[in-house]
Formats: sequence, C-alpha cells, structure tokens
Amino acid sequence: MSFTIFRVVLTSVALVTASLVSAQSFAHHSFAAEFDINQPFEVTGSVTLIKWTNPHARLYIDVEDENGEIVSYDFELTSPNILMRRGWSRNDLQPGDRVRVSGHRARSRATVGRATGISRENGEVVFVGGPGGGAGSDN
Amino acid sequence: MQTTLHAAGLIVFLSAMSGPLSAQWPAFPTPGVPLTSDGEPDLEGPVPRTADGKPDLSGIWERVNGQRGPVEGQLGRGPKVSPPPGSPPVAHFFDIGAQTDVPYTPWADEITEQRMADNARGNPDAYCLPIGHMLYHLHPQPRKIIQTPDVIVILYESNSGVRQIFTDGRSLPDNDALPWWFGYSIGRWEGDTLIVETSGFRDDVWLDYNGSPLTSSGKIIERFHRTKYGTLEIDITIEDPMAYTEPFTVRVNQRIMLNTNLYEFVCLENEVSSRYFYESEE
Repeated sequence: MSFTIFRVVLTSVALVTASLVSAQSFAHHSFAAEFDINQPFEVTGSVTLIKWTNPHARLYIDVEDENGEIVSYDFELTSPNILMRRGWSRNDLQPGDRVRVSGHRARSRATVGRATGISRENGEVVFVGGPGGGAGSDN
Repeated sequence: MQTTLHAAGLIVFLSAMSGPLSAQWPAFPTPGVPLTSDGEPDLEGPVPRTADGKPDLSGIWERVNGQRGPVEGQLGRGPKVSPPPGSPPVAHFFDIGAQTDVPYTPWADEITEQRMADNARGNPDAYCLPIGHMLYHLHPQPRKIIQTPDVIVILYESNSGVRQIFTDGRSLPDNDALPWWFGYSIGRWEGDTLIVETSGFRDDVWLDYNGSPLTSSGKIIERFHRTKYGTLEIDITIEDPMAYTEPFTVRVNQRIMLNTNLYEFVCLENEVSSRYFYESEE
C-alpha cells in the first residue's frame, strides 16, 4: 500500500474512533426542567425496547430490584441524528441485551432518567453520553 | 497517478466515515473541496465564489467546540471568560453573555432570572418550537446554507428551522401583521461580509438557554464572514431597547461539514419530555 493511501487510512480510522468516543450532544434541550443534575444513578438490566425517534431516542430496560421484582426504566438519549453521526445505529442494542446505564433521574419519576453512559456487561461502551442536558460536554 | 491516489484516498476516507455496514446514511462527497498536496480536504483553502463574484456561504456548517456552556448542564450566568485574542465575545448556547457583561434592562434581567429559576421550562426548544437566531446558530445539530443571488436560505436540522435572507435589495417591511418566529431578514454585501438585518420578532424570543429575552422591539444585525474554506464567523449585534440598555455584539464560530447532509428531524414525532415538567409540581 502506498504511503499516501496508508496515511489517509490511518487518518480516517483515527477520525472514526475519535467521533465514537467523544461526548454526546443533545438536541431538544429540556434537561433542567425534566431531570435533576443532583440525582445521578445507575442501573443494570435487560433491554426491552429501543425507540429510534426524535427528539430523543429512548432506551427501555427491565431491572431486577433487591426483592427480585422487575422494574421498567425509561431512559432518554440524544437524537438519533446525533447518535448516527457518532457512528451508532438502531441495531447496536437488541432486546435482551444486558446493559449498565448511568444517568440523572427525572424530577418527577424515579424510573425515568437521562442517560449519560451505557455499557455492556463486558464493559464495551454503547451510545456514550455527556453529563447533564444541553449539547454535550464539548469544551 | 497523483489523481488516482487522491481518489483512492477519498474512497477509503469516505468508507471509514460512513460507519458500520448497518449505518443507514450513504456518504456522498461534497463537490469542489480544495485538497492539500496529501489529498486531504484543505479547510484553510480559498473561499469559493459565486458567479457574481461574492463569497459563497453555501455548505453544511456545524458549531465549533467551546460555545456550549456549562458542562454540567446547569443554567446560570457563570464567571466571565475572556474572549479569544482579536475576537469579539463568543456567545454560548446556554449564555449569550458567557464572555461579556450583557447590558440587561431591569425588566430583562428579572425575566432571565425567572426563566432560570423555572429551569428553563418555557424554552421553545423544549416544545419543539422555533428557537430563534442565537439558539439556531449555536445548536449542536448542523445547518445548511443555500446561497442564490436573490435569497440565501438557511435550513436548520433542529426543529425544522428555515430562514430566508432576501438579498434582492428590498427593505425591511414596516407593516407586518404577524410577528415572526424567525423575523424578517434582508441582506447586502459589504466587501466579503454579508450584513443581515432582521426585525419583526415575536415578544418571546430566547437568545440563550438561560432565557435572555428579545422582544418585538428588537433588531438583530448579523455579519457573516467566511474567512477560509472551512471557517464561518458570524458577528451578531443585538438591539432591543425594551431588553438591553445599549446594543451589544457577540460572535459565533462555525466549521464546514463535508460529505454529509442534514438528517430529517421531526421533533414532535415522540416528544414526551414536556409531560414530565409539570408532573414534578404535583
């Protein structure tokens, strides 16, 4: 492979990698009205549904609580438009996948949150997010 | 041979940028991109011109980093940051006055404080409504400028924003029956800078996520300057005697996005957040 093509490939790989790990931006800004930055929380459960819709993709998971009861959680993600620009697709998570989700709790509902980080049980990051609402943690 | 290498490099670059095979958006190369000697896009390259010799602002533009606001997503007016050398104060999505003391009237100061105390619940963005010049300029989703001799159209991916800037020599109307979400804009060229005047706003425009207001007595002057192939600087002067004791100017920086297009964004297709705003009061 010529040196020029090699350099372009290397640059392309670096760009794709950078876009996947950089923080999420948000569309439809309503974080402060809906979520509490002072209530971070984390749950682990099984995906039941992904809604790949605007203004926010939504991730629904079933979590087993300490009593063995199943509780359904509804997590708000960023716009699918922004997820797709980061390299994610609607097929990256499937019903039944086990995930750990961290985020901030809604002010009015304990089982609703704005997700800031989603990872599989093996630690692989999915739909990486930035803290809080608004447009992600760019500097 | 050089052309073949460039083409091969571009194909590899595009293949990589289009993401996993299951990604839905086909990459389509932006035409006419200047290249460096290494075959990479030259974002420092010359500004393209239209047939009538004007700088061509056409393209897909994204917000440059550093114009969002607090990382924690909190509202509020934080400590002022100095503007970059040689730049007017840079506006942030959360706070138009991130780098300057905004000359609020007492009324406007109180309105902004109320809106922040209410967690910006009245922000039009939360209801998928048009979000006004500043929030559109600073939104994380891209916008597409389409320049023709008589009108420049800006399509905003977020909240179906559409602005028309009439460059056919007309004046601002003084008899509009309807206050506009987007205002009424006219533009003219001064050298390589497009000067845009907009008036006819509604009374409830938000200039930032904190809630800095703009009213129907407001006027916005924008200066669009494409300084290099990949760089667009927009200087925005806000005038509104109801809300600000004197005009003030801020800057927005944007960067070209290549080999892409706007996605569809129908904000209302599954807007469920607003139902939670009011539940918290019960």
